[in-house]
Amino acid sequence: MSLKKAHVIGVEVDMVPLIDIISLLLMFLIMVGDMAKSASNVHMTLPRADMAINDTQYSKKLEGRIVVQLEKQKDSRYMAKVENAKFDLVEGGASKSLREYLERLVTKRQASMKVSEDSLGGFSIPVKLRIGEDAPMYEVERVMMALARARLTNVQYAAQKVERH
Amino acid sequence: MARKKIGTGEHHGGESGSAHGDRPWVFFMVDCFFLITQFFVLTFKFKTEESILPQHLPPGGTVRPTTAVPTNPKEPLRIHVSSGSSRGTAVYDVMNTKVTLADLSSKLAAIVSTSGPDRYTVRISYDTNAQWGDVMAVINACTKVKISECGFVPLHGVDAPGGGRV
Repeated sequence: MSLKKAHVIGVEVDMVPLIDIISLLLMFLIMVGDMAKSASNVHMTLPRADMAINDTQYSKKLEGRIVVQLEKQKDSRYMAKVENAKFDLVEGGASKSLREYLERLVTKRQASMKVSEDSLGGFSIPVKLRIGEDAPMYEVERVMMALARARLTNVQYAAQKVERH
Repeated sequence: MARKKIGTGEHHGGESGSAHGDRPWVFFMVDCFFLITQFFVLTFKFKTEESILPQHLPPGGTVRPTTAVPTNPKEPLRIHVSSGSSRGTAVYDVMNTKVTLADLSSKLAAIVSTSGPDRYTVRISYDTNAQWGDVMAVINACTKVKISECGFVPLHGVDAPGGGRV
């Protein structure tokens, strides 16, 4: 029996699919990054308002804006969400923890943005309130009171823009 | 000697030593592409534009202002929101006149037409179970007639859960 000489095959690597996959992954990562950014928004049905404007139409500064969201829990309770911190609105009475957190944020903004008090003691730091249209007012009021006590008067209510009829 | 691509399927049997048998490499790329596309299709959501309704709360609110109040305070315009059986059926009491949401803007426009919108500050009160959407409609109507200050009259007494403590 004679031994055959091993047949050597020349290897050619096609780069096209590699580039395809890499560009798909890149696109994926970019999109996921964008989704992660908007994922901090609590999903809710916002109230409709025909006078609502978008951020670009708003002429005043939005720098340092604080976003306060009222999030409905599975047990129908509501919790306030500021940045990534959640606050029970009843715990401790008078939403103390939320108020204290907001006051800390105001202090930080004062230091970094040189925010000063207006003539009546309020701060011009913008606060965006994201509250679902079906939220009961007794819960909304707790958030409002916390804002008032932190002397945040420049509020922006998040809304769905509807066209005028 | 002619060079051959790996995985083209030519002369490859199932046990040929190739990791993917006799399936061409392009199958796997197409599989990947379909999986990624499937992911995007399943997770796709229309982006709804979120707008804002800017307002300036009356300074101080229920908290005493740290400095002196203005010498010519604005005239308070009181509006009470009574909760309806469902969203959009709330009744609005504007200076002791009950109106629906459809008539609210015209009522406010009539009030501010005499002395201008800057003369007024709106104080919104509401039933305990009134919904934010119904109350927000008042702020929207105020914006429409160019009243820049809208504040809330807090619930007091036993009506509010927790005995009115907020």
